[in-house]
Amino acid sequence: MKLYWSKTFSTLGPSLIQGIGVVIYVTVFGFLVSLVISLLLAIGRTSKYKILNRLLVLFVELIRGTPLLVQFFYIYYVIPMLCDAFFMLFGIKTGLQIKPVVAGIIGFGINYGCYMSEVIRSAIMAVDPGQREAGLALGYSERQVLFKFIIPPALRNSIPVFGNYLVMMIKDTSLLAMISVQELLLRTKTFASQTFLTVEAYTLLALVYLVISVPLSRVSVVLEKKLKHRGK
Amino acid sequence: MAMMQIKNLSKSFDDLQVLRDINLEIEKGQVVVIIGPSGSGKSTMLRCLNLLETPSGGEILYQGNDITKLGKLVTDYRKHVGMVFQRFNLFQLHTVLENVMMAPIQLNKMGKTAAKEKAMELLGKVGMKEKADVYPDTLSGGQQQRVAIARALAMDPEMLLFDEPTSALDPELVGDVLEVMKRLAADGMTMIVVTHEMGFARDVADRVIFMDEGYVVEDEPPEVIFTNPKNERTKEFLSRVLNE
Repeated sequence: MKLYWSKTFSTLGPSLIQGIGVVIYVTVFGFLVSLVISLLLAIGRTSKYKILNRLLVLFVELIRGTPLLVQFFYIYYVIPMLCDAFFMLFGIKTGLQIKPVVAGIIGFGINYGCYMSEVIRSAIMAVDPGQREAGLALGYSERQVLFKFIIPPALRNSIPVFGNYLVMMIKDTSLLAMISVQELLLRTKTFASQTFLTVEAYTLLALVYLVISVPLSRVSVVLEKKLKHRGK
Repeated sequence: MAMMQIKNLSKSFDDLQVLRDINLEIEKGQVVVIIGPSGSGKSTMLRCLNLLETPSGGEILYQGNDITKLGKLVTDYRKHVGMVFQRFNLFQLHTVLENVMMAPIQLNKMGKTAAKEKAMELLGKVGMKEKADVYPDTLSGGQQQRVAIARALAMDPEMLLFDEPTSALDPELVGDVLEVMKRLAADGMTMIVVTHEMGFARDVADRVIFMDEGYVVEDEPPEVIFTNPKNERTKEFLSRVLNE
């Protein structure tokens, strides 16, 4: 079997570098959205209103109980159709479409937001109750205590786990090939089907993922060690 | 009028009654030490006094106002009543100085420079000035507790509650903390102290309250309670702890 590495590098290589741009774009925004969603969910779960709590649990279970890929399809194909149907009730034609990249960011935001909210929630519960009492005793309100003395250490303790989720998200961007985002897998698939350089193409693809995710994992391990230094 | 009046205070956790019909009056400038076996309800009572525990019944009047009916305004009341905890509870992500100065800045709208100056002065008072810029987890328990006292003082409280302030300390560190507390007492601070330090009770307290099974059993000046306790249970408890 003859392998054409140099051709693969020179043709697929530049395309993959562009693809990395897409991956970084989706991951950065997807991760930011998921951070916001996870924080909102976790704070909502500390609420004393039982109904809100139940609804949020239900939502998180719904998302965690279905595959990410299905959610991408749902957001990309189903949501626009539902919106259309809804607005048709009022006689408005929307012709709404969601860009694949945007669907990806929304999907990551919601899916990872749900998983990460559980991380933050358990970190919140792990904060020494003495911190809350000290804040209250000084005259802070429950809300001030939550935002000043409970969430900051909880987030800080969640950072190493967030690191793992970030690496997972980068790898999960390959799922976006299924909704036609021009990320790494779709580019490789196209190249392979045109050139039949299947072995070279997919090997290169795997290497590119490794080159991105291994250093990031290392960074999160180092970060974890550094953060361990102070506080609980 | 007494600074604080506790009337028929009771507290239950589900089926367990921890405080039963407590009646006490605390005068301004008094140092009241509460002793008693573990499980006697002394910490729970102290925590009721700034509503970290919600009483099940009775009234707590502070300057004549019932604090159990304050609702959200309880935060204003708590600014006047400081608390020092058994486990110090310093804010771990903040330096010693920040621990002491943040509440006056954030809650009393104090200027940053003034708050810092005051915090440094208080840290000097408890002998922790040199450690102003370090984080709490680098300090010994005794040092952390002294910072915690400075933090409580920074709000200019009219009364301080101490919940077993030396119980979590290594024996050789207890002295420094007690020394700071003695000086506070000498300065006229109103203090309610739950402790097992009988020496402190004897030397510093104006009144010693013995609690058992949720009742205030005896409430006497230290010279009476330590030499001539009236109640059998007090006698038994004191002979146990003093002969250790």
